[in-house]
Amino acid sequence: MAAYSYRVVMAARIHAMLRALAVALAWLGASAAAQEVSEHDYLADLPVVLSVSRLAQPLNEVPGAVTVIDADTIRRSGARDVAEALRLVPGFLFTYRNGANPQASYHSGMDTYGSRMQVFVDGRSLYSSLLFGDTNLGLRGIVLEDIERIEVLRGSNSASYGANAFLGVVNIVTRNAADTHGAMVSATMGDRGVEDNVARVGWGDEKAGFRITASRRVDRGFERVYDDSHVSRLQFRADLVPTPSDDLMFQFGTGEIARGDGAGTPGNPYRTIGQTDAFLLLRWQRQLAPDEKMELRLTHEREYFVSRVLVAGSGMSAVSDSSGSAQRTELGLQHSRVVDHSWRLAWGGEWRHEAVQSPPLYFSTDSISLHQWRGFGTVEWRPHAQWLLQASGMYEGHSYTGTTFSPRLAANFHVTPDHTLRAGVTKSQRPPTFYELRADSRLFNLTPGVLLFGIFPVPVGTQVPVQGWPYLSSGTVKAESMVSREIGYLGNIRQANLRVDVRAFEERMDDRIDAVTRTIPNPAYPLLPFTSFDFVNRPGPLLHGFEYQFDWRPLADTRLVLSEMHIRSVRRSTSMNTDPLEAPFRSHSLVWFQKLPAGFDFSAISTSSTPFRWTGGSDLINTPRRLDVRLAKSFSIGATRGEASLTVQAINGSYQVHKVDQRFERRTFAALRLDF
Amino acid sequence: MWVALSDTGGPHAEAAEALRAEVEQVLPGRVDWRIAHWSQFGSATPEPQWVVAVGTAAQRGMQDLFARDATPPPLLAILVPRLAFERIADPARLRTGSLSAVFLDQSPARHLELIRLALPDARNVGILVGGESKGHTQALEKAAKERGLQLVASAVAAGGLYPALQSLLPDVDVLLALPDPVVFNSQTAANILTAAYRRQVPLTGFSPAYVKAGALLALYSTPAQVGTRGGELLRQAMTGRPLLPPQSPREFVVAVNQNVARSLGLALDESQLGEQLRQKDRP
Repeated sequence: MAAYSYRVVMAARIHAMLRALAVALAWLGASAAAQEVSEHDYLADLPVVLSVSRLAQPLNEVPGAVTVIDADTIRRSGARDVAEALRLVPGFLFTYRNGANPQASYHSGMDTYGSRMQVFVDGRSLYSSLLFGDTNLGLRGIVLEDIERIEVLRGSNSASYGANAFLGVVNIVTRNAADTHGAMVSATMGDRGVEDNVARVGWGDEKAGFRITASRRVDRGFERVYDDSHVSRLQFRADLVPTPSDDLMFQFGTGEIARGDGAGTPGNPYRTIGQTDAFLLLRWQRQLAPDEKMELRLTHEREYFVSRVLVAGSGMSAVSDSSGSAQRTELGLQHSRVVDHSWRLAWGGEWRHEAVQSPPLYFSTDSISLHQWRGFGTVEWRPHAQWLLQASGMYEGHSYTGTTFSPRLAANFHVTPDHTLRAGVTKSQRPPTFYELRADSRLFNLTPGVLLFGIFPVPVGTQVPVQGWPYLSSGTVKAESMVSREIGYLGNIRQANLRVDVRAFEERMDDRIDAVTRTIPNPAYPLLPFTSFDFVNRPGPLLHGFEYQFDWRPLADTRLVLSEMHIRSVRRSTSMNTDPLEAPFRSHSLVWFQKLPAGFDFSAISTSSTPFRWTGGSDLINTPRRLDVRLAKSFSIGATRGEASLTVQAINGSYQVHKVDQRFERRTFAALRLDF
Repeated sequence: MWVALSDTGGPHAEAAEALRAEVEQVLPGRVDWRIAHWSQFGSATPEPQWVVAVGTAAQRGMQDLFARDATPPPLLAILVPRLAFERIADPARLRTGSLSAVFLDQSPARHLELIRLALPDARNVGILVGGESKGHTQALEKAAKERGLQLVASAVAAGGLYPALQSLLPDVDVLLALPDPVVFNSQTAANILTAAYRRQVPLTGFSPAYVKAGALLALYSTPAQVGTRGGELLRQAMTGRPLLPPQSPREFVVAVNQNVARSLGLALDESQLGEQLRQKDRP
């Protein structure tokens, strides 16, 4: 009965809205002819445009710690990559595995490829599960100039975002095509072969906006390291508003990334890793009523990797290959409703299908695939003007690892409207990737007449003894999970133009997926068994600490942002290889944005961290301080607006990156951007 | 007393009723009222002593009716936009004080003072200027300068609302909507509001409908407030003096869309803003 009457009310509401629209349109038709102002302009009604469900929740009402990086901040930071911009978020660590692989992760260096972070671009997940799980590569393809803002949820939230929203959720919102009409070109040139170009053209009217962006980013990475990178991208976005209550978005993108890799040794020779990808995204948002919204989303993506190299060792050579292709399809539906200001509800479901094909990685010519489905619900309750309570949960199914439930409870207490205290507890998951579940990589001898230890002949085409089976997954690995607790404070001290964001956390990780060696019998040479990696779950670390950000605008043209994190990574079992230096004790960033007279703009960014070691072959690295400065001048010639800028990264000198013999040298580049 | 309405219901009747109440309060039973749609006043005889026109159509109708009259009765137009009034007003009658008006418009000073009070950090105030709103630019520019604000105007060419809006939004801290059916109508309002909101630029409007639709602020006078001011003008003129010059209503309303304010991270109190603005208004 309740459901029935709800539906009747909804139908009546939609009907009333349509009628109001018809009246408005009829009136418009009658008055448009006049085009002269009359009292009707003052007295006529307007449809509700920014209804509650269309408005973004203010940060002090979000049940979690969120940092927003807007387009202006990205531009003024001088970043050429999203990962570089994430340095400005408290708690984020940043490095380059080599010059072609900038990587950012939240709280811990255990996350080499961004596999424990979830990244969305306009609702589309960038998570690639071809190898070990990767979001860093996807981030490389993002065109910074198209970004409206980046919302970073510091913490974990599988209850709202599903699997992999484990240590940080990055939501990238690209600009609406309606806001990028006209043409834009930009060119950047500088040290180490930096050569970036972006061209964009946008057109349309108030009902339909379109945009095409072409971008290319090239550099030679670090000195004495083969890490050249070449990223090119073509993106199309259309935003249609067929009726005032419907928003349709369509995106298509394709790109190519070539990265240099290798150490120039027989076992790790120089090579270029290639990747191409393409995606489609369709999103339909409909206002069912001023307080009610529905969203339907469909994405399809394909990726192709080429990474093939001849490796040598023990007098033999073999082909090491991790080429393959992957495709993902995702369909999601979400419905949200605001009920009389004290209740906000959202629920929805998603279905995801992934398939990969890579004979060298899985020793199978078949495509292997998995399904994931999820249902989620969120209830937000405001029992009192000062209190906001949120409960959410996500129930997920995975064709390999079964079902999991991720709950989350959070409370916000507004001491005053400008001072908010937060507390929350949540459990999150990261399911294993295809490779962690099904890895089977083998090396075959290509050198004729090899005698192992001068005794055993190794015929061409047989598996190389000892090292010839680098990875064989037993398939027993299950999802990683993490329970995190947090308390926080968000303050807006209006008299001083100061915003304060503090978060204290305790993140306990269980079932961390780790690669361990095991011995596999070698039928051809029983005395020389294979040493191979398998994936197992082990206790993870306990991360605890706090992070804060002071965002201060002492003068109208001056902005200072200080962010800092203090963290300890505690080993919870002696049988595990968790490195207490996997996270730095302290990391720090200070940003100074200064508008100057005559259209000049200055910025300086200083970042530092205490020594720590990233997993995946990093040395213990100390980054005492890196200082980037940028000076820009904006100008306009007629209707053309432009900005010329000069950026010097690491102006205070080179510093070690990832490995002791790898250095980020001072890098200067100049950019010119024109908007027509 | 004739009260000619552009429309017999709704806001027009409300304004007329407030005007009558204001006059009746001081001169109870002394005035013989004839309130009707303007087209009902078919002939100029018997000539009334006073004529009130509520709305632009009524103003035009009443002016035409007495056009050939050498000594027409004083005409007070209420609930009319300033531009519409000035377009059809007879300058000679304006000079002699036999024609006046109470506008729907708020003075530029009041609009900009509200922006200064509500958004103290805002420095650049954007306006979209079409054929009609051009008439407001000069006065707004002057009022802005007096308050240390910078007025940024973007001209809307035919069919070119979007380019104008796009070039304007990056440069402004707040958008001031001006009554102009070519720029702001029920269709474009949705686009302007969403585009401005995406850029976190608040919009301040000139009618309650704007605040309901999603503008941060609106500054307006209700039909009753316009009518009351009209009644005051009449009372004064009934003592034998000429009509006071055309003007904005004394009383006004400041409305805040709290959902939008919260979402933009602003804490605004509409009654407090209204009070502060009233104090600034007093000489």
